[in-house]
Amino acid sequence: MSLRVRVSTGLVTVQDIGRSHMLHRGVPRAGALSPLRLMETNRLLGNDDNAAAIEVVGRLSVECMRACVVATSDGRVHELTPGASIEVEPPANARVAYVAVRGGIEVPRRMGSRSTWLAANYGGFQGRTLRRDDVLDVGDSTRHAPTRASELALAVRLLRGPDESRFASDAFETLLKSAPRISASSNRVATRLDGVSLPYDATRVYPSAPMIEGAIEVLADGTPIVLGPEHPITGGYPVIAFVATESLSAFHTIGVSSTVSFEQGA
Amino acid sequence: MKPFGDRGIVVPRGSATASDLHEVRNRLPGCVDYLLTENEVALIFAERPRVTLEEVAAALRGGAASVTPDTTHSFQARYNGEDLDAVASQCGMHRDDLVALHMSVTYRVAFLGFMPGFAYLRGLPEPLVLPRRRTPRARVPAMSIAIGGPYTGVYPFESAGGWHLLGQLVAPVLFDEELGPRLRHGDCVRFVEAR
Repeated sequence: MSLRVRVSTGLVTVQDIGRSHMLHRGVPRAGALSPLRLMETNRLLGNDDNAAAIEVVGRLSVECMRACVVATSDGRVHELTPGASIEVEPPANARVAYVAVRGGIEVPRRMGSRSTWLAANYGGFQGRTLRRDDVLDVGDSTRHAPTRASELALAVRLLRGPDESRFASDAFETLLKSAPRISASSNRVATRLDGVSLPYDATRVYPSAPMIEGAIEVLADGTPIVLGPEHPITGGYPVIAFVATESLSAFHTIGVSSTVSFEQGA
Repeated sequence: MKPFGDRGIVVPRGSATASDLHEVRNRLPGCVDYLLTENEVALIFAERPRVTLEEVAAALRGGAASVTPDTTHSFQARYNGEDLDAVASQCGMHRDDLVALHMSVTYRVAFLGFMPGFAYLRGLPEPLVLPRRRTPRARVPAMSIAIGGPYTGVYPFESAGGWHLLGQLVAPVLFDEELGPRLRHGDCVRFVEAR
């Protein structure tokens, strides 16, 4: 069974949860922006949590070659007749949508995952975004009973970072209270925050430091960026804070130009 | 020992070897991954870490010496980089001597990072240690062999970059289509001039 891409604009990629625990190999997770949202979309169909789906930051129209059942991350399940197609884009104020198909998308696993690491042209469907006329294979069985989606808590918890002393003494509090907006210049490597500036002396060069998903690095011009699934594993900018692990899935669903509400994490 | 997000801690790297680090996930309860830089080790846990400094130090101190031999990679190279003459001049040597000097060393992977498949290689001879270029390039060709500060390395893919370009690998061997990044902590690298 296959799906054929009719229209694809923006960053449309095959993703599963990603490559866990591979930082020691220089490999970031590089999976879904919002793993929880992907998992829930899979659960609507009875797929494994980690079945590969299509991540849509942009627009997708996809056609079923035979009858199939797909689910979208707005919680809806669609039974498609042969040749029928479905259009998917993130809802208003959301950054990303997922399209799962019963049985999961089948592309070869690379380092244990079907997700796409765009920066390395690795994994997923030929290591790239999907294009018109791409044909995706689909698996043929599921093992679970379908379950309903649940809401993701939207508060984004922040923890203090290791480089606070390089900033003004209240920089972390400034960030916490700032209500910044998600910049349109965001991607799978990092999310840029507009509307908050955290100045510091950027002239001194520091050695590269470890970086993880959720670390908030501050660029030389004071712009904070939140590292995403395809983050480089080392970086040279100071880290003022981290988005708590439990908040990452929700953070990555907040739409471009929408406001982020931070709270203090434990 | 400092917290690093809610699942990590950062400690000084000290003299922990690549095989010590490889074992740390077995020796420290809950430790699932780690990251290295020049000076630090970040240890990543499945949940909020509950280890003491003593436990971490003991886990990093190492046990029995590793019995696996080092992996040595030999990369075919063409020394035709845009900065070769400028570097030779800056270091006060003929370009052939610069090339010979660069090839004379067995480098060791100090840490991974910066971009997919990239490894910072330790062992650059002292006469070749230079500050990064004042103006980084917007585009460094894929497979470029470069030097910057005390390190040498190869850009696996096209990238922006601030190091001095000495040449290029003959083949794209740093990032395998199936297996991913080729270079691992503790691996050795030699460059061999292609004929």
